[in-house]
Amino acid sequence: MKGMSLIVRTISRLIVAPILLFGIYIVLHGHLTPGGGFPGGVIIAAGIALLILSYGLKATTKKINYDTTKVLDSFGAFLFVAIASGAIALGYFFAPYLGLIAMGTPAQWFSAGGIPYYNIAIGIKVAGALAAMFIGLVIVIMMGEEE
Amino acid sequence: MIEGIVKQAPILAIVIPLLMSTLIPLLGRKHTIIRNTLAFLGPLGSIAVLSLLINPVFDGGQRIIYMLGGRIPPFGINLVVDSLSLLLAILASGLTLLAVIYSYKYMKKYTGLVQYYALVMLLMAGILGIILTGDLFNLFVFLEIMAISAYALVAFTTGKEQVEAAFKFQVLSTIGTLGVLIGIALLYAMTGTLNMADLAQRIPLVGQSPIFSFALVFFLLGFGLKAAMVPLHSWLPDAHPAAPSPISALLSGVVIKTGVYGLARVIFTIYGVSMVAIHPFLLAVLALGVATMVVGGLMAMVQVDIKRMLAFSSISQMGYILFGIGIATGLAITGAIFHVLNHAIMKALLFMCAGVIVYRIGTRDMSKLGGLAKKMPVTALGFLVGGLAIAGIPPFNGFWSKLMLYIAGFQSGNSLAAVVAILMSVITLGYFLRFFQQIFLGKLPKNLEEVKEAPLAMLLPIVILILLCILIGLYPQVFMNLSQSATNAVLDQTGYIRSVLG
Repeated sequence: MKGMSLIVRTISRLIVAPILLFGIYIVLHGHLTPGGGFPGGVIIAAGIALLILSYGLKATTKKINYDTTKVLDSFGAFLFVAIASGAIALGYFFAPYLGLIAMGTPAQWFSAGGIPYYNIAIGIKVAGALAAMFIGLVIVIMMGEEE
Repeated sequence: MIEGIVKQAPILAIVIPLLMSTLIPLLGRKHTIIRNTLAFLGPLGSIAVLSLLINPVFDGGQRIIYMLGGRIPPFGINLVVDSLSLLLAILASGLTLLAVIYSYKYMKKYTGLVQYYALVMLLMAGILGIILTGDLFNLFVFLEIMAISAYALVAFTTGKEQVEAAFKFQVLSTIGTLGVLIGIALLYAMTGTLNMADLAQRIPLVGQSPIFSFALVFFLLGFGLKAAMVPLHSWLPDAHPAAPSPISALLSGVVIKTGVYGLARVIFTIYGVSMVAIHPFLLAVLALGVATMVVGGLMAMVQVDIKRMLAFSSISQMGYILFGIGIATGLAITGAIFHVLNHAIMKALLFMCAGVIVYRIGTRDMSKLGGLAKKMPVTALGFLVGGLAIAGIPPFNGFWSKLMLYIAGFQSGNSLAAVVAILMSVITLGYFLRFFQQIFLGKLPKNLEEVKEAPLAMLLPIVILILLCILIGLYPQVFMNLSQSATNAVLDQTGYIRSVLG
């Protein structure tokens, strides 16, 4: 994949950073506003997909490559299980144990116990997995083009 | 420390393989040794924490309740470990351990093994979740976890046959889980709860309603499809041969048993025998069980593909287990549970022996084989022991469970069905001996003169399973007692309700 015209490149250069930032915002505020780990992760992955479409795979892999996305994918899953099973030390699996330490004020970011931390884990997992899928598909298409 | 682990043991048994399935792709990418060790530690850890529960559950007859997030049932999800769950959970983790050891050599030539071992761990976590959970919807979730990792594992080697089999498996299995989901939805609509103990308590209070019978039929559809009950069996003879051999051993050994487990839980724990006995439902299970054993056995006779033959033989043996559930007397259920245990051991043994042939020779076509007993003595012995055990020949384990099922059949007045069961055993013996003769005896084809015995890592699980077949056959009393206590646990509906809801 070579990428697209100058207009597309310029526009995507301008909007990729806000897209990624918006994705992170959605992940972090999952417990306060609509959205959460999964939609936020999808938005982040969509930003990466936009980079690949406009600039081509080679330019994009300088920033984030296939292996990194796969590691992010496994790391997100691991983080989720680790947070959940970390609560065993406090009595029960999956207890909202972080809430025991800081329940916080409702409607502030530090609230809702463990939910924001689970959302962050899901966000990493979904962003990594979808980006890995997209990069993988592009690699398969490129292999087809070479033949 | 140890007390804390005992308290957390039910959830740890599920979490350890789940944690391994995320750690393997994270840490095992570069080094084979880390990947293999983590894959080994998953099932081993589960066995270790489950063995801490053997004493209170089997000897004390207790039910261990674990509340997730500390929420008291029926409001939260809870895990219930009774004798039946514990027996099957140890069986599932033990077989996974053997399959992992077997995979070290068998899967070596494939790439992407990080994902393979991660999926095996996820499959195991799904199976243990189904077996240990005390919440009906949670059971459905774990059923999906198990099924999705099973589809991926069937398609793992990505040949044309594998992908086709996995797709067929996926479509049909989804219909099965949909049946379970509709059954759960109907029960929830009628009672407003999903906790198994709470359901068992509330169903008699709601009273007679055709909706309950309707839900029961959906459960039979869903779990029956998972258990490869005729006429819902058509995915199994494609999926089990196409999978890599250690995975075939797991699929036939434990994955299809989860269907029977789910059915048994729904019939005996949630509805209760008296509630189900109003309809000829158990008779239908019995009739379908007999049909399953006949169709599976007759189809196995005419196969040329060794793993396809074993897959049809699995269907036939599932018929025996359904036959036991359908009779639903104490002896019959004990026999069925004992047969679940025995069949898991002997079918895993047979699939691993077939795997040796695939690994060394690369063909599954039995007509191209012959005279291999000299080249592969241990594999030949394994196949013979497995075949004789599955046919129910006295010194081996299959004899005892089948004997219990026959006696239960005659005692309960289902003599015709019991006679069919005995006849199918004779046919089983016939085709296993015929295929043994075809593969291992007779003239060795010219192109197979260089064939060697399997490597040690593959022989070790085979030898362990052979020894288990013989040991259970010689000392059946211990395992009969375990099955007996599992039967008592599953039939004791009021005890189940009391221990969960207090």
